[in-house]
Amino acid sequence: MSQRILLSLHNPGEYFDPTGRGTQPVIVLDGWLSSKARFGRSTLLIPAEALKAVKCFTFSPSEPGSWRCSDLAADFEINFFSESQWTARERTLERLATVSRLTESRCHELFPMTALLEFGGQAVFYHYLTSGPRGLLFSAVRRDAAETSAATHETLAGLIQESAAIVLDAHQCFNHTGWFSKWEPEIEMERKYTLKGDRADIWKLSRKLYRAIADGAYPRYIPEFLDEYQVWDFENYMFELFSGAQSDGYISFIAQADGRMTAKYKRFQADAERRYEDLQVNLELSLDALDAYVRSRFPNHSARRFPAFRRKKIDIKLESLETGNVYGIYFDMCRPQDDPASSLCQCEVEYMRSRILGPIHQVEDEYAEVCAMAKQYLLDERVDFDEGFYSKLSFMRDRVAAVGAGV
Amino acid sequence: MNRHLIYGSWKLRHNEPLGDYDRHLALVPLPEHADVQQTCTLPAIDLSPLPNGAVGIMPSGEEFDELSLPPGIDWEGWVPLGLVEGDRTGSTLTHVLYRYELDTIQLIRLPQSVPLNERQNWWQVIWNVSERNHLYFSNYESYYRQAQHTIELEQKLDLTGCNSYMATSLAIYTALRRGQMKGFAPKLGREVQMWSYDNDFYEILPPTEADDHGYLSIIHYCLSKSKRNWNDPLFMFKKKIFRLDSLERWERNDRGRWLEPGADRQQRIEEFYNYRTRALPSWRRSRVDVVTESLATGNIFMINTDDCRIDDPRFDSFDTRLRQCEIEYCATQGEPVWEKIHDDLDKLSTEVTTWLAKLGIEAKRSAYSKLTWLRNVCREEVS
Repeated sequence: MSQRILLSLHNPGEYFDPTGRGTQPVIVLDGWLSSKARFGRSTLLIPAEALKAVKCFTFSPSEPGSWRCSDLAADFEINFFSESQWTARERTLERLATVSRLTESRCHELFPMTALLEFGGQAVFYHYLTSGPRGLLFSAVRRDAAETSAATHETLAGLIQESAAIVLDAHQCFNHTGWFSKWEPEIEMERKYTLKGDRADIWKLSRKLYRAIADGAYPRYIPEFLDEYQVWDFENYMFELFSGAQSDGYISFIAQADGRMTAKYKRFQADAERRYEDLQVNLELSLDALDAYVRSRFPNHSARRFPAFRRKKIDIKLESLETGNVYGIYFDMCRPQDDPASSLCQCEVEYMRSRILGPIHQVEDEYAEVCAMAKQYLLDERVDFDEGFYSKLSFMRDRVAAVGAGV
Repeated sequence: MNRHLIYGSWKLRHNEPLGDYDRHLALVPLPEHADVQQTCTLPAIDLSPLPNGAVGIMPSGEEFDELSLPPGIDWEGWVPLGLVEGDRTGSTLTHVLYRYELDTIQLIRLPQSVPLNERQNWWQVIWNVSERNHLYFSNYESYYRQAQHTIELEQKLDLTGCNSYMATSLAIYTALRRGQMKGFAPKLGREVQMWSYDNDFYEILPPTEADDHGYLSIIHYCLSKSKRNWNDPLFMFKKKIFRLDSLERWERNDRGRWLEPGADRQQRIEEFYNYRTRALPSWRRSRVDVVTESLATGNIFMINTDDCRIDDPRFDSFDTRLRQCEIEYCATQGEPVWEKIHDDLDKLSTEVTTWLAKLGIEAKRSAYSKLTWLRNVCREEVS
């Protein structure tokens, strides 16, 4: 399966000129994306060896119609992360210089900044965001109804001019990590699959799922670009907070590698899918100072300190091509330090953030879909589990009640 | 000296209860091209079948090979636990696993190598080392230290003949990836970062309480991953204090400042930092950062090539544009030593300058600041 694409090439310095006078494409390519490319109504990912350019339109104001058309009919490499990509890209630019009649040095200055794809009755206009080992990443700035006649190089050049105000609005997002926003940022939305028995191996489960996502087993999703997989292993020091008020919940301190602490405050009256969460990092706190910190920060609460536990956590993150919403599927093992034989082993699904140049949408729908994906994966792997919201606070409470431990 | 990767169960690394086969290990010859220094980054290796020259070690210390593979071994749960150096006199564990992606392994040097004696105890030694160091080496990108939190250390290179910051940056990245900048390699992950943002710029006016000189700046972006809407009017405030253009300058960034449309920006930043200022022209900076790591020391630097243009036709021309390559210290993967950071900065600046010359770009070391640039541009306009 392949998808037609129009791709504009610019000198990035001129393109980003603050006056806006440099947005005219130097070249528009008309070509095809192979099935290696991944796209949806929000995100376009062009990996290596995925683009074939059929025609090259070079902007040439002196010529009738202002464009010079040349046949290219060649694989067109725009990626540069590996040696093979770089070599193919160099060949591509040499060929481009020949057909466009631009100098080679001019062609080397060019970089793809916008793209237009028509699919599903829509014409989606994307803007370049960033690059990584998986390819070049673009994000949609406009989704219009597709015209009955197919778009041309002039359509894309026209869209760039017409969309100047939208692109200017989005300009602050064209910065590393500046493209994220978050739906209800103070709320953590998370479902838990509590794994039962001894069969579950969180390392193997996480690696297999990560590979499946990377290999395209879930067509609407790709690994979160530049932030796919993380392994964590740290101590937690948890205090239950109670006062009978809405602010009840827990505060948990996480030891940082630099000797400082992260404090995570979760506010909830009962285990639930949505909980208030506040994170403070880099606190200069020693273990001895935690009780005093809790008393001073929550003077109207009673606090109960639980035995410390060790948490191993493997994070897989994936993002939706349709919406840019990013979700985490986390495999998690918690063992109290005073009784490491007992454990809480969970697979958690959580909404993280959104990479979108527009309003966030469909967070809950896709959250349900990712939960269903994770659940089916566990079923396929023959792992026994309970689905719900069983929290670490409940685990520590239950454990203390069962063995009479606690501080 | 022979070097081998030592593979074993992930449970040895993460203090998990061990099963019947979790004390087995495998030694895999280190690929010839591997560059072993403070860190060592390699392509992932498939253990099934065992690579040529690899040998398994049972908890008894006896060896096994592909033909005598114990039936309960499941490679899926195995990870490259570390790096072993050995000769006839003995073996030591020199590096441990830091990151293990689908396609990439990254190892990091232990502060002190650990002797490995009888083979039947190796799994126990690795367990102990992992246990002592888990907070540093088993947490994603956590083993970073900043030598100085408020001092920006940055070597500027003024560029002549650079027509595209993007093309220059991609060439720099490729040179690093190929090992053509001696002693430096791309940092694993987020190696290339794209930027384009507007700046409102204000020179600090005397008198000030602490006799501060420098500038304040409003940068038009919000790097928080938690802003509520994609186009919220959130900005970063910057305060940079220095009397003369120099390699080290005092800097503070305050992120996520909300400025509603129509706000008097100069007034707001003056109030925020409590200075009186003079507005200089606003400008746009488009930039690519290539992040690199010193292989010997773990010091991490950004090589930032930029294209700075003033957003005012009275001041903007080809000649007034500023094109620089800044080499800035970020952090250290390990314990930072300020003198070594300076040494690395000097070496990297030389490597980058030499490489740019090969691209036909003249790069001259300077301390030429954005403040001096804008002052000069305004002075020329007045004259």
